[in-house]
Amino acid sequence: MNINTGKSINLKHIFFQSLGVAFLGAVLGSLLIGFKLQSRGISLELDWRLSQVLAVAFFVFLGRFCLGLQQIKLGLLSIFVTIAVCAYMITAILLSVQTPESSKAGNHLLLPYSDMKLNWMTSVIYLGLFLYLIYRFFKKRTVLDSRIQNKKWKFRLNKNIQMILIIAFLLLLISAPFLQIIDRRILNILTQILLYIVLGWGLSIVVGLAGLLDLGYVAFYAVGAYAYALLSLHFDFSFWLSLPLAGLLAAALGIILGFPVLRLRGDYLAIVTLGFGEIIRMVLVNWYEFTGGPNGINQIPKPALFGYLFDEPKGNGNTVSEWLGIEYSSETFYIFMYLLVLSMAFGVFWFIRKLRRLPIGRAWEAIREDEIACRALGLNPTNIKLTAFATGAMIAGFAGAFFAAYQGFISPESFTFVESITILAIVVLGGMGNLFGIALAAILLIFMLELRDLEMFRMLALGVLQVFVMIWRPHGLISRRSPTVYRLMSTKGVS
Amino acid sequence: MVQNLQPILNVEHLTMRFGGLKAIDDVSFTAYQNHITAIIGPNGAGKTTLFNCLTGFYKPTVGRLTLCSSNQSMLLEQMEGFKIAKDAKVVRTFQNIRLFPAMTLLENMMVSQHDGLMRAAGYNLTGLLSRTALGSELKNGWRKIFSKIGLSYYARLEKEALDHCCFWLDQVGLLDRADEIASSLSYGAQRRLEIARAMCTRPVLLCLDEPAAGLNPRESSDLNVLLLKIRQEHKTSILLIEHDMDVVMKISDQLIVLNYGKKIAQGTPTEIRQNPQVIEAYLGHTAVQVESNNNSGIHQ
Amino acid sequence: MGYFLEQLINGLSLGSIYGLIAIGYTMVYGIIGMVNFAHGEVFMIGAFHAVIAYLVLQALGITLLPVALIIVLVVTIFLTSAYGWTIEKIAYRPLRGSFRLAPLISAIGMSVLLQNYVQLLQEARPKSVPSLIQGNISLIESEDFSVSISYLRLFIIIATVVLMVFFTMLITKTALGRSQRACEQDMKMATLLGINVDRVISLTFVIGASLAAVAGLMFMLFYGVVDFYMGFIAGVKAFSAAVLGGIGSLPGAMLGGILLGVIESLFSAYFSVEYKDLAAFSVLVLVLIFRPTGLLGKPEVEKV
Repeated sequence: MNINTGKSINLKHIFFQSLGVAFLGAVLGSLLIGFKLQSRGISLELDWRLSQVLAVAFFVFLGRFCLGLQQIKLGLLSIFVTIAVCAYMITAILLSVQTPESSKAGNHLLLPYSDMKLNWMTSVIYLGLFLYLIYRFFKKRTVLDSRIQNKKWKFRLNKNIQMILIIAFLLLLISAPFLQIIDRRILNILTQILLYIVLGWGLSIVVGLAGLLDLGYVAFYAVGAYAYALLSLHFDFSFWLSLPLAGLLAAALGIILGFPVLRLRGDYLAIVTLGFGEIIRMVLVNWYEFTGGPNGINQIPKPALFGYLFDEPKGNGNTVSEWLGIEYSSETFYIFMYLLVLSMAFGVFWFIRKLRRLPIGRAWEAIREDEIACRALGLNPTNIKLTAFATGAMIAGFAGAFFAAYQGFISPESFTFVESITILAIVVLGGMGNLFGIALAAILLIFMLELRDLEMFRMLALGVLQVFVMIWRPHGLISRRSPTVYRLMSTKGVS
Repeated sequence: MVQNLQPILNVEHLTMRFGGLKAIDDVSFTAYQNHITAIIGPNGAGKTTLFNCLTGFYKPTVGRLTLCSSNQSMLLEQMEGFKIAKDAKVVRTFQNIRLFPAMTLLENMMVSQHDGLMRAAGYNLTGLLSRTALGSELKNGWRKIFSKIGLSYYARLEKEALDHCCFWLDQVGLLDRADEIASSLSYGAQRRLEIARAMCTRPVLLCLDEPAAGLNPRESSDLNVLLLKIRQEHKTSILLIEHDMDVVMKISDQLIVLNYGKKIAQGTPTEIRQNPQVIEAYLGHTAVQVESNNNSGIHQ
Repeated sequence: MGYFLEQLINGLSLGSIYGLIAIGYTMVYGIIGMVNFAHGEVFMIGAFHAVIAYLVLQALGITLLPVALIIVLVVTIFLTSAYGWTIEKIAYRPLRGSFRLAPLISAIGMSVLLQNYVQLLQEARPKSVPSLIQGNISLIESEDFSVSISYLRLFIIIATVVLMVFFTMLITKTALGRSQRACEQDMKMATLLGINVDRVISLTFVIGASLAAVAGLMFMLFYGVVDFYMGFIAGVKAFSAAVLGGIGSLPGAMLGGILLGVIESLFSAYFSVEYKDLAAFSVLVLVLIFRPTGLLGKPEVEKV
């Protein structure tokens, strides 16, 4: 890391550098970590926990020192240190969790922080550090080999096998809800993941292809969801009629919002969409008569299948269970919704892939690459950006309608800034414009977020992830970009 | 020689002010069809500003820019930036090359076909249902079957566009590298790609901002051949900003000399060579100028 | 009339807070051309620092208000600017020269990170702080109405004016200010002339963060409540203020902040309190439509 500073790196140098970083850590944490505000009644009191600041400084020092050791070829030592810290922390945590309340005080002596969250965090950070050091350690060894291999290593299966694998995977996806091991909870997660994948794909048009940062993407999702809920409740519109309307409404809103902003520099869009997302949420919370306020809207009608309802049979033959002659079960509806969302995902996948190869898709990418050059070639940048923005919004609108139909109730809670950030993190991690990468990232992230015990670390992890990805892998997990045309396709090319 | 010439571009009393600075001060000239008109002048003479006014990046403070193509004339100063390239067919290249670096050469070229292809794709509505080249032409049985479903109108036009792009890539000698990423090209090749991309839009007037900057002597003589070919075979008039006197004197039909935003001379290369005012303002320092420009070009 | 004047004064003090935050946005934007989304969070951290520092002083027995306030101010500025410095170093410096969206995305990540860092350490519940500065001075007293200004508002407005004067001197008169302006104009050339650009950028973040820290302290005094989420809305509003004044222009940021504060407090006084955030946002969009360069901003000449 420090190769170009020109200074010689030795133990003393690393020691003082680590000391400096530890001091910075102590300064940063001095008040926020060292004291805890406690509201007691009307008065505000402080818990003093200054020892924690020392602990933070110590762990920061140790961590930085280990990183430094790795630079002067003492990587093995640092690996041992980190794993030792990790093991110690986790043992101590487990001990303190297992012992009953009365004797807990004794075990607290083993733990550096009184706050359990900090203990967890330290262990996780050291685990990460350990993995990183191992990675560096082995990478250094094999750096020459891997470079040679990287050139040759190409994962290419026979096209037919590839196709068969893809079809098998699709069949698996379609048959998933009917499998024994998939219960209601897993099916729910799968549906959620699919919705996030679709949202990620939609946002990838805006962020990945057109290079516009949209921080209020969830607003369009909300518009779609509320559009379906309100249309079906107040006007008795069916799901199939509301779905396109929800998409169009979101797209129209995208155009209205985008038009004044997209003419200007890119960064304005980010902040305007950020504000817009908040405004939409504010309207949803405050406009009681229309949106039901913070309680949201309940009992949104379920979509029907060819006019047959997913309700309990009442004997008049208009329910799905009677029509198909199966026993009534609430599961049926969720299986149906899963399949519906899955087919929407396929549709969106096909749509975006197709769009990329049409002139508009190339124009989006060209705008991202160089707007001025686009203008000089006769492309209208505002229109192109607007179409990207509106298309992204439309996909979010569709997804919103599906979400409302699936959940049966919606409230502003589901459409917070956190959601926008989650979707953005999916796109960023997945590799901006790469549909497979985004799907992969959505699966990883949503599984991570579904882990209940880590609830409080979720957002922290998302934030860290975005900064890390930008620094170390700015083009995401899968950064490969496949061209939209090849020379072979031209008759000129063949000659 | 002058009598049977058709004007292509009429610049009248063009003035561009930035605050108190007059970057261009009352410049008038006419460029003719099938001519290579070169604009020369020391650094800061207002050449690039003139281009920016011409191609809609700046709105001129005063002045009239008339483009007389085939049978109609258009007032460029009243058109929106992108429409100048789209409708008036005045296309430019940039001093510091502007490509789409992450896209392949062929994609770079295809972007310049945007307008026609958009129409062909029914503004993407019918296009969604049509076949695209990618997907139908790859040697793959499965995809072939899928691609049979769909309309072929767009596919035909897309193929035409692709052929056109490949033709121009061939013209600048980059056809072999068509599927490579634009940023992988060398400096000289990037310049040629930019010119090819501009030509791909079938312009009536091609504006080149220092196309020879940073090229080695062989590349720049290749450029001369290319420019002459563009003029002769494709009936495209060229407006050229250049510091490389080798290029300018050899290929241009008319020279316009700017200094401090004012036009100080106009004429054929031989006339300009003998013009005392030009020699004083510009050619007197030629050696120094050309050298420094070549250097800066290389370091860019 | 009295109500109006009171709201005006209210708006002025609120606007001072926005203006102080907006300066951080506008300076960073001017020098590296990015919106520092984490700036609102820096402001929030400043407010937390102020609360904690004050309570610590109280526990230590320093209760004399002016002394306590000054110590709190110094401590808050110091610690918060350490945050500003670190954020730049970790999240933005490695991304200089990366693709266009990279620093923006990183900034968003940083903002989320800081928000949740504070939430994790200090719990999500809002903390209400007892009001420290009490009392009023009457300005106008007549038969139909009376207008008074509280010491708190007076303090905020005066402190802001003093800070602004100090700050303007810093930018216009000192070597630091000169090199900062040079970097704004042309970073490459500034490097060639021997200006340590990295340091200037770091200092810009430090200055921005210290002004945000002061704003945080004032906000704490003004509203008497802090929570981990407050930086978000305040950040958006301060950015709107910066755009309103003309992004990149320092007096513009202050003017924009004050205007926005006044607009907001009048809007919530006469129209609706629930939608007061909407006012700021509408201002932002209207400015972007009709005058994208803002009130005092210079028109941007595109370099082609």
